[in-house]
Amino acid sequence: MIRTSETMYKYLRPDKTFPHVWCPGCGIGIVMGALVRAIEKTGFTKDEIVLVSGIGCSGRMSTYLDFNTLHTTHGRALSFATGIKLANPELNIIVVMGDGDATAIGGNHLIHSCRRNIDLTALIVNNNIYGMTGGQYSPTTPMEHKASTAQYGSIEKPFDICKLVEACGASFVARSTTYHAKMLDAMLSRAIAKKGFSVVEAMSQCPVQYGRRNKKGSPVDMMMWYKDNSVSNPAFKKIPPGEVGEQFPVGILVDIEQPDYLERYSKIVKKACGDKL
Amino acid sequence: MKQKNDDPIHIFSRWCKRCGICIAICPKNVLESGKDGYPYAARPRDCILCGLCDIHCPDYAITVKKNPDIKEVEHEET
Amino acid sequence: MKRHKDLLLHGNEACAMGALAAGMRLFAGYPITPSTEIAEFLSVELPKVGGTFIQMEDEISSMGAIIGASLAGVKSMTATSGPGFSLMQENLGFASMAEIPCVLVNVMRGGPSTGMPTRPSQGDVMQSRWGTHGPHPIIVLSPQSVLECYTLTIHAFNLAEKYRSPVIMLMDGIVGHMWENVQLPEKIEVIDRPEPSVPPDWYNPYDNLPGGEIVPLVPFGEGYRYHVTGMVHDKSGFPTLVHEEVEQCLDKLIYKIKNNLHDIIRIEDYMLEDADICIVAHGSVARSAREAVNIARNEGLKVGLLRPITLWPFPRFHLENISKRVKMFVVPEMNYGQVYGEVLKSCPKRAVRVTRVDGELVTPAQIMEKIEGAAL
Ligand SMILES: Cc1ncc(C[n+]2csc(CCOP(=O)(O)OP(=O)(O)O)c2C)c(N)n1
Ligand code: SF4
Ligand code: SF4
Ligand code: SF4
Ligand SMILES: [Mg+2]
Repeated sequence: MIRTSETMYKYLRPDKTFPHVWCPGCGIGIVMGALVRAIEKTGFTKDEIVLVSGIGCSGRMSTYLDFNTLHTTHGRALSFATGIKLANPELNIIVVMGDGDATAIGGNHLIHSCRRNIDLTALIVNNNIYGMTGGQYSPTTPMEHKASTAQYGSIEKPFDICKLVEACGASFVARSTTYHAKMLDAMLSRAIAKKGFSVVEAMSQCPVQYGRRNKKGSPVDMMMWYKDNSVSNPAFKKIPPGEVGEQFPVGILVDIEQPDYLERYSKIVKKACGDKL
Repeated sequence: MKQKNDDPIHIFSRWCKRCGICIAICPKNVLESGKDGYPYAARPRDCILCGLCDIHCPDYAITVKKNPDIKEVEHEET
Repeated sequence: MKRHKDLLLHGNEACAMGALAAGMRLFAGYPITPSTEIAEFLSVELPKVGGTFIQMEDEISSMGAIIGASLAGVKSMTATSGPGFSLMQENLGFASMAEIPCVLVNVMRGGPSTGMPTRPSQGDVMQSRWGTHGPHPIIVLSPQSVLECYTLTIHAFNLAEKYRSPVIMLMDGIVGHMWENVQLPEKIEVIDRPEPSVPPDWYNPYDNLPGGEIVPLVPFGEGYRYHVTGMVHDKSGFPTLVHEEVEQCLDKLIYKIKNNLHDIIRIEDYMLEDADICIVAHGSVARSAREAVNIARNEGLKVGLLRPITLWPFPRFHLENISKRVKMFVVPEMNYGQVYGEVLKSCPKRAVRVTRVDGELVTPAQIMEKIEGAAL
């Protein structure tokens, strides 16, 4: 297996300050490790990869990694990435977003990227909270859970990100957790290789802003919670609806072949050029 | 034949944030928390080089060095 | 590219053609009156020339997409109007901060809010300057004719590349929708992105070079891996809070424009040499103003016209100079006086405004009324 720490040195920007900014036990570092191993597996060079990120704790990933990196505005990472892809289809673009970034302020871009099936890889770091701004509730904060703006418990029904993007037409959808770090890198490398819009949801503990408020215990406890409540997708389907509780499916949930945006665009080009081609 | 490596584990304490994840994730109970809170390999001879501590460390502070003579042990996660 | 001669075009079409002539190869936009014809035209033409057209889900993402495209080395543009322009402001600020060349066309309609979608206005003069937050550089051009929609769009791309800055084509709805017979120039100047002068390891995309020379922006994927962010950054592009670096970053943004006013600012003057009264007008209103000058001259009144073609940076020094010669300024606009405020700021001379916000053109007669009133 590819080990993180050895591989990491190949991809971290040596002039950045380490240890990184994330809090002790924060899952984002684990997700970044998985991302690096996945890229290493795909064999792309650093120059062939563009890492686009939004704003949030997870958005900080782009500063640390030695690719072409773009730290955009909150929620808009996918739109910047769309422009890059259309301008240079040769580039492999990975878009890292937080749950708030991707599904609240950037929800519109997410659903339309799915619908368009633009060839990008979206990595959504879902920590069920707005980490960076101090723990406000996000579209994935579970009902009744507490946040700095939901001191009495959240009353909003959370999104199931994977179901959302599946319904919107994404070509590849997978979910993993920081406990399943190895599965996460396997999924990410498949997502990167996949032609079309792919989404990988990485459940990631935010012990500081989410865990503490909701008595989720230590980072280790939070990861063990992922272990205990995650179920492989086939097994999940067999659970009777009344018994699902807090369990959630992990693994590859969608993997379909369909023409991506640029393939369809090439048809437009043919029509526009008429006889000239 | 599997061989045991004497001290395959390296902890880079400058990057370690003492979160304890490596200690908890180790299937062989190799690691322990020292007095200062930093992990150390208490039972290095038990290490099966599964690399789980390594890939789960959020700070890339623990490295498991491969011994070329040792066959890899792949660990089941789920 | 085939030269078009003696064509009957409207302003939006000419603008789109200018963009193609300048080498624009990616357009991302969202439909809105009165700018939509630009998107429609480019959706037909871009695929023919190896370019990409995309209709995004909103104006926010349109602005994001053109920034992304430019970073990947392709000249890019978006076009919108009032409400969409408001939505673009955050990412426009990103382009200013990260120094990404791109062109934003705003065909102004009556506002605020949904306002009068089908009626022209010049209500976004201040928003085009200060719409996004924080200190930032911007270049804004205002065409008065269909031909200028073509030539100034090319100029806009040139300035964007030269100064690594977003450039706004601020057209009023009249100019955008006006039809004119035009002869497009045979020869045009097109500035493309220069090659980097240093190898990757030595490349600092935000370096402060002596003499204010601007570092070429190397497209992503060419071996120059660097970081781009909307955060205040150091010369390598990484976020910084070190006081000197913060100051350097922001100063550079402002001074790259300020130190090149002579190159950036374009104005046109008409009968100003001996004028007592100077009209300051831009866009379609400048055409009425020119007519007003002719009428006034016939009546023996010494009136001239200053037309800022570059609205921002505002031609302050030109105004200061003229103010030494003239007795007063008359500023007609299709708003309550946005350029008027700048005229007041630029010189101590008396200035009166001619305002119109009902979605109709400022007429020569309206301007004459003020001139005659003032001349008494
Ligand atoms: C337009 C805009 N609105 C609000 C913010 C403030 N803001 C920064 S990060 C953030 C939320 C981050 O949450 P998430 O996307 O889940 O990322 P995390 O920090 O949890 O990784 C917010 C609201 C902003 N930067 N820009
Ligand atoms: S606030 Fe939460 S998500 Fe952000 S770095 Fe800390 S633990 Fe991680
Ligand atoms: S490699 Fe595996 S067995 Fe060895 S210390 Fe790490 S987790 Fe434990
Ligand atoms: S997982 Fe990493 S940071 Fe956490 S205690 Fe172990 S070595 Fe330190
Ligand atoms: Mg979050």
